[in-house]
Amino acid sequence: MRAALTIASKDLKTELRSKEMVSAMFLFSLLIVLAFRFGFEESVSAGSVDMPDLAAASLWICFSFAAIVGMHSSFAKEKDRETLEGLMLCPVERSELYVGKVISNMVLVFIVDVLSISFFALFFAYDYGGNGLTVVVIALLGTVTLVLVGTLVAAISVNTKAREVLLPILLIPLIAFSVIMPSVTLTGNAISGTATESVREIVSIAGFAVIFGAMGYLTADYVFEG
Amino acid sequence: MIEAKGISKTFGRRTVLDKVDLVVGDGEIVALMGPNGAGKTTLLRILATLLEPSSGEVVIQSMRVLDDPVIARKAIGVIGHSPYVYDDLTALENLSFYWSMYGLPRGKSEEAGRAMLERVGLSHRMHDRAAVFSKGMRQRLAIARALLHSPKILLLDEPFSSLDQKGVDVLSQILLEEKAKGRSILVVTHDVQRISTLADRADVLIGGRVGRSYDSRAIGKGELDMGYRTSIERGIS
Amino acid sequence: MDLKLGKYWAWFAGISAALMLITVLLAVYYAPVAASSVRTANELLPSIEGSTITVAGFVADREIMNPIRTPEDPPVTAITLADFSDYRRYLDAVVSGGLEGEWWTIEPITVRGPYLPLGTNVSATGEVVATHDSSSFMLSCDSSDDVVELSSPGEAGIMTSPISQKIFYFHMPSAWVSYVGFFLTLVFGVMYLRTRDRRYDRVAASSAELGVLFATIAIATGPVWAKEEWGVYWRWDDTKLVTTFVMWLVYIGYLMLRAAVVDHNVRARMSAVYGILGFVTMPMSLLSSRIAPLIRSSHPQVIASSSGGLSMEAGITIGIAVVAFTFLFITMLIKRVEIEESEDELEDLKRRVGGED
Repeated sequence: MRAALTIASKDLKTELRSKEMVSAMFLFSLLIVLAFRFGFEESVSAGSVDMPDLAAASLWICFSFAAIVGMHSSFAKEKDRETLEGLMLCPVERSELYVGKVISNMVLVFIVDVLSISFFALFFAYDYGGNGLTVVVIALLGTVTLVLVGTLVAAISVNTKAREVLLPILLIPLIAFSVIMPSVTLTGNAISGTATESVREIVSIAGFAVIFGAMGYLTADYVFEG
Repeated sequence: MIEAKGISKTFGRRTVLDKVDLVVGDGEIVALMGPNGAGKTTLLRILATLLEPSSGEVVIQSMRVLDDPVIARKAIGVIGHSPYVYDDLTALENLSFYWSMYGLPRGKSEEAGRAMLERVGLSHRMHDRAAVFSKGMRQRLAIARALLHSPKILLLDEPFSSLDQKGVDVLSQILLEEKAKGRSILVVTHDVQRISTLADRADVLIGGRVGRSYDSRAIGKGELDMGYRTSIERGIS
Repeated sequence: MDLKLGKYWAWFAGISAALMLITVLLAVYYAPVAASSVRTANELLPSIEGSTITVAGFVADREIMNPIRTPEDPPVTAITLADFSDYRRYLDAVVSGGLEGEWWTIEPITVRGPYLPLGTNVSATGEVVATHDSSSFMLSCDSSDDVVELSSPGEAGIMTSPISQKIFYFHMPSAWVSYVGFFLTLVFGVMYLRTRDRRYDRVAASSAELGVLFATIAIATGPVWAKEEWGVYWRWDDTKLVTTFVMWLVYIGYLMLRAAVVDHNVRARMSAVYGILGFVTMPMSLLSSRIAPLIRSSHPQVIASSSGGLSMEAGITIGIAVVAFTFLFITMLIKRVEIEESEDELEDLKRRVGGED
């Protein structure tokens, strides 16, 4: 566990200096919210749009795509500068590499989640029906599952040509049912103040977190090799 | 001591290494030479536990590496093609990171890092980020990184290539010091001149096999220089 | 291939072709019209006149419901089929009753009665009081003064039109072998990781490719069936359709992943891990028509525990079709693996000639 934490803190420290990932993710999510704002301009102004639905859907699109950008670069950086090989030379289990990357990605993605939630509030002049804090908590829950599977898939896709394109192609079908659909429902309900009714969604997201986490932990030996 | 026993490596049906036997004893510097594509780097990667051999085994201090590669890695220090350092961390932070990754005692990392940077002649730049380092300075940092956990086995891949004259001297000095401590050192290189003054033995790898071996007496008489050229020519033709 | 099945491929091909022919013959002559347990409304309604039945279901598809009716609209007592363009069913209802342990599905169904808001769960028990022209009946609910009238314009059940039934004999077996293909991808991927034997990787890759092929057939024939049965080509509220579509995307991704890695060993390793990971979508798709009560699904449950399944004739035909497709799959897998082997060999030869060694 020490190695995982060492890797995570190294990632966060380098990120604090270069701000490479966070700035890319930040801009990405800003642009997505902006695109939604422009796209729904007329109906939002006319008030004819279902705001909880719109907020839930656009936030999760933001979270997913920003996370994809971040998780990709967390491995692409190590691969391009060949430091990944340096990590592999270290006397640690491969699963620690996975856990370390999961921790640092989770922190960075969650920061961007909170920023996206704020952008949306700002651009749409929307207060989430006073349930902003619940939305943040749900973002954290969904992000855990998203990052657990995303980190593993990013570790796979970084070995390929055209890896930037391949990561979303490989990842989005996997998170469609496990993260996006239940999280959108959950977020929509939370804004409407009925989050407690969505036990099935919470169980499903958490269940997939366990499945994906176990898979990442067990297959890390094969993903990080040679 | 590190010992390769009958190592073969095939990629698909292409055989890169064909039952290679190699021993580097304690306090011994062995040069591994050979033409491009002879399998030198593949052998080094297998010894460094980055690749698994298709058959054969690697034994370090009478322990089979495949039984527990995690433990084996503690005994190995590698200087590879790339320095494996993070641009956004300072020289000292890079060493602290690897210190922690090798599971070495907390709290002593700073002290050990400073000493190591002193040894490779980088102590005046220890608080600079690696991004601003020249290629030679990165290589020095890589040397410091590889020696940080006092490995019993040192594996070096073309370590002299990016160093200036002073750096080469520093590395040669370090290799001799490590040799005196009883470390086993394997150097992959093309630099016959340089290695002739250091190596106790030189093995020439051709077509995935150890073609010829020269002991220190033969190297001293310049036989390596001549023999290496002819064996390379023979290997290609 | 591993089990030395290779030399028997011609047998497999022959068996598959013969069974395929039998399937076609059976589909045309033996079981051309659906199901005995799924009765036509004409058969069903007279037999239940006077008995007590329960109507249960929910008002479906708010996409179509919304523009027509909002809560502000005055309640209507009758909603006709025409209001719903070509979407034939809007009350997703199961009418149950009559003899114990027996239930019928009458669909499409039209409801005349009180205003039913979107997503309302409808459950009413009452006596069948009248049958009109033997294809609709009235049900007086004891819970309210309203009279719910259920009418069905014709035959009921899952296999109503000859076209959809015949498509089904190819649709369902294709889906089945695609599941087999993806399952083999998982199994051989795991075996590759354990043994690092490239032969296993070839089988995993080939079966994924065939799985995608058959899943494509299933996804392409499905809408034809759906158009006949549901009146629409695709329903996003049907879990089975959507999960299968997502599974298909996962394995398309698997094939793209393979195409994007140059090194053999890395390709085999990475795709094996992704094959394991992607397999989580398979149980979701396979079981989604089982857990229909939990999530909305109108997909027919072919192997059903109640009498709502297929008739014996249709069951036999579909059984033979499944065997035929399985043999077809095995034949194609054998040949595909051989091609993969030749490709690897060619690559090695090229490398040797190129003098990379």
